[in-house]
Amino acid sequence: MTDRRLERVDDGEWAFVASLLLAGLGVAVASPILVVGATIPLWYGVSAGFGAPPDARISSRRILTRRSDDAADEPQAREDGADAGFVSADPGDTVAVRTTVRNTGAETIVDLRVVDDVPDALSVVSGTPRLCETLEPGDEAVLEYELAVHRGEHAFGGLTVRARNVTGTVAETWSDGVGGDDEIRCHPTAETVPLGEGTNDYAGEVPTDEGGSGVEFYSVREYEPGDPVGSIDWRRYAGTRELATVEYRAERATRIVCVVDVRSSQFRAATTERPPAAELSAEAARRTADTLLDEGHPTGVVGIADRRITTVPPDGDTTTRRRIRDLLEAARRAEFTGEEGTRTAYGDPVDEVPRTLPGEAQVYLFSSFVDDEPVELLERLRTHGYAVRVVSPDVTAGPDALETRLEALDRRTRLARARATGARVVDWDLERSFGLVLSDAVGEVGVR
Amino acid sequence: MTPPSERLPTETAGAVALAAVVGTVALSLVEPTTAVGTLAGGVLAATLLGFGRSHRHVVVRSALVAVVVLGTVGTAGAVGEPIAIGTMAVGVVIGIGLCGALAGPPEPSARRRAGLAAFVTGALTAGLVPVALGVELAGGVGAALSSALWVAEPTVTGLVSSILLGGLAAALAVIAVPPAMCTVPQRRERYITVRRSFVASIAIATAVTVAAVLVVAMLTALTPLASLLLEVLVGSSLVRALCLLVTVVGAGVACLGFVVRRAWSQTTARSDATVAILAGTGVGTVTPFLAALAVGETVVTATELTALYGVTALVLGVTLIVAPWYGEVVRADGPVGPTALLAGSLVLGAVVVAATAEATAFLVGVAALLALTAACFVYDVGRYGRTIALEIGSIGVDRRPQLVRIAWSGALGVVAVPVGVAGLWIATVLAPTLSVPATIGVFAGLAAVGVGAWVLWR
Repeated sequence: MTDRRLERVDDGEWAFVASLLLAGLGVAVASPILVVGATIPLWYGVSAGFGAPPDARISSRRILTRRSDDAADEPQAREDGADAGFVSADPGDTVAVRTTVRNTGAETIVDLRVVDDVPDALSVVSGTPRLCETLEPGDEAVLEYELAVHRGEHAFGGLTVRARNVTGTVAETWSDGVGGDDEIRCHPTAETVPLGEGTNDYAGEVPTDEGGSGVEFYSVREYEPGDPVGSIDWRRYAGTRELATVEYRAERATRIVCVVDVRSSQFRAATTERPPAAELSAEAARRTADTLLDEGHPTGVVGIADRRITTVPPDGDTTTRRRIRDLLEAARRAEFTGEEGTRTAYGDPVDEVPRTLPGEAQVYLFSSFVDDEPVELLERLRTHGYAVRVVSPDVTAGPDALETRLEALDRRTRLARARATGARVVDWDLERSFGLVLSDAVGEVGVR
Repeated sequence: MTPPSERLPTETAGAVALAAVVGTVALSLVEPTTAVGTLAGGVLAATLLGFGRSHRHVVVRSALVAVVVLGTVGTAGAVGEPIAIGTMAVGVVIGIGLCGALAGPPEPSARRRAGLAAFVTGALTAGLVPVALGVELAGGVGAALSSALWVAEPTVTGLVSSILLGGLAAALAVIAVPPAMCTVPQRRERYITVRRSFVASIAIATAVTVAAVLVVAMLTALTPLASLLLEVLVGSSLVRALCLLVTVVGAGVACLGFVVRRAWSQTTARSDATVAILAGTGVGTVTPFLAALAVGETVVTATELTALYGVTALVLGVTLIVAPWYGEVVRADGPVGPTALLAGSLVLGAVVVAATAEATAFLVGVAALLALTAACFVYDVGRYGRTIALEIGSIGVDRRPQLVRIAWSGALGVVAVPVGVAGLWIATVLAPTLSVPATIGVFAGLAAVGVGAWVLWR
């Protein structure tokens, strides 16, 4: 509890001014009614002097609950043993906030106003973080609202509290600390690879930035003739007599293709003890594909060898999953031997890969970018309008040799070019796990 | 996060409205025109709120704006008494404030549309004033129509002028109508081609008609039949009426087309309500005018019609000047707030009623005291509600703190009124013994006690 500020919000000056004006007017026009009428505001002016400052004592506790699908995930305790906890969430999740305010004093707080300090970056999607209540000693009031989560660590502040006395003339304002949870952490891991914005026109599970007939609330707009009756905001109509139409976030289907670069240049590593880029890329692609398939997104793989492209078309069935694994296993060894269910094309990958991809798809490109070909491929894909995410294992990190440093410099330049195309680029430092790398990529993408 | 609201919480808004109604009823018992004004103001405010809805509603509401303003001005004119007109004006502000306190301010788009509707209504009423004046000067509708028909003299030149004017108006009308009123963007080019053909056809038709008239005029020297035909053409009221009709309709459509074209080219919104507003205000303004002309001098004289439309145009002009200031003042976070204006109107009404009453009019005094108490309550509770709306919003506010505050302010009023009435009764009984100076003495004593108590308790 800090900086309790007591202020008189109403001195009753308005009433005294009104009283004097009425009395003066009464004298001017010789009207006893107005002179007598001048006593009425006087009552309000005098009453402003009544009322002792409020003696408000409160305690509060906040509980955060992640809403993911049907389940509600409990918050986790801090590793440092602090009382406050945090809740982890994925981008697009909703976190329910329940802040309980309790009157711990001995007096009734007639007019208690509380505003929860919501993290600036998050928006309230339902409920309100503000309340005005009357609290008897020992009574509780609850602030309940839900936040839409974005990437990052979002810390809550305390409560801003204002209590007024019964006459509403004296107010005490202070900031109050809140027990319980105080942070939302939103770092997607490898198992929760975020999807991009590339979708097709079919209904699916990927939320888009357009209104339609999904599930999640998107916007309210002015009613237009022909809108379905079921989408009319009847609650608003009851309140304001204005017809408005509720739009839900349209959900579209998407197909995802993991393009894995296993050309001969990808079998380099900084030292012989370290795994080559091709192996790392294949493993990262396998984990990504598994995650996406688990989430129900049709996923395929394109393996790029020297002038040879092998493809597993996107689908969501178990056969495709098996074929993807087989293909990636073969890619690790650079042995594309015409696995069952794959298609093979020959030619320059820069020309051939866009031809093998479906029209509307998101592309994950796994390559170390130790030569220019992935950049050219990326530029070609972007030209074709594909949403591309790049995961690039940094095989140049390691011994402090001049050649390695020069190679690293070239690679960074290529990644910069890749970012300039609008692709999201994850620079994978091999000292860190793949999951953590993707977490870092969030910030990298944010400042791109 | 729920944005701070401009709307008072429900219980507070209800209490403010109830107090305002009590004050208005008290004033209406003395000056019934207050109730009429409040009703008009309420209808007007409710009409303005609906301007944010579909275009069909906008048409109806635009027409209502014109009808309500004309009706209010007409009623005020019929009453004639300056005091009654004053309290009626106060009533209008009370009605608007009451509706604003209950429903909150209209949406910005509704405000813009309402402003445009008021502007168009003002322009149309101002435009109809010369027409009414013309009817007045001509000595009646029939005479005015006859004058209009024969503005161009009954000569060949006059007939040719009428035909040319009609053709010009028709061509302008076709050119002025925006393509979007008639077709879709994909067929714009085709529409332009068709439009050119139309204009060319009108020009050819006009030229042919004029040439025919001129040929007939030249043939008069050769054949008596031509002379007879020319005489019929030049002196025919039907021909002149047709020319006048084409000219008036063409000019009207051209004006409408130019206005709509300009409005549509400037709009950035998804839809533009200009046509709906023009249609509604046109109906709301012109229909009563034509109806008044049709019922004749026995009900509304041309002089009264001129005054009605002239004053209405003036009132709307002043309103348009004052409206931005009003909008700024009554914003929830503005310097005064909507309920303060409502309270101010009640005080003004009470002052007018009290100042014009006789010193011994006890019941008038009670009514004025009730109105003043209602004003104080409305200001006090309204200000409280405004802080809640700004700090918390209209949702998230429990009813208990509001009811406590309303009860406190109401209790003050409940005590203040009987004391005031008792004081007034004493003043009435003792009048003229208890003169104004003596009443001031009583007031000063009360004030001294009040201020002393205030200082002590602080």
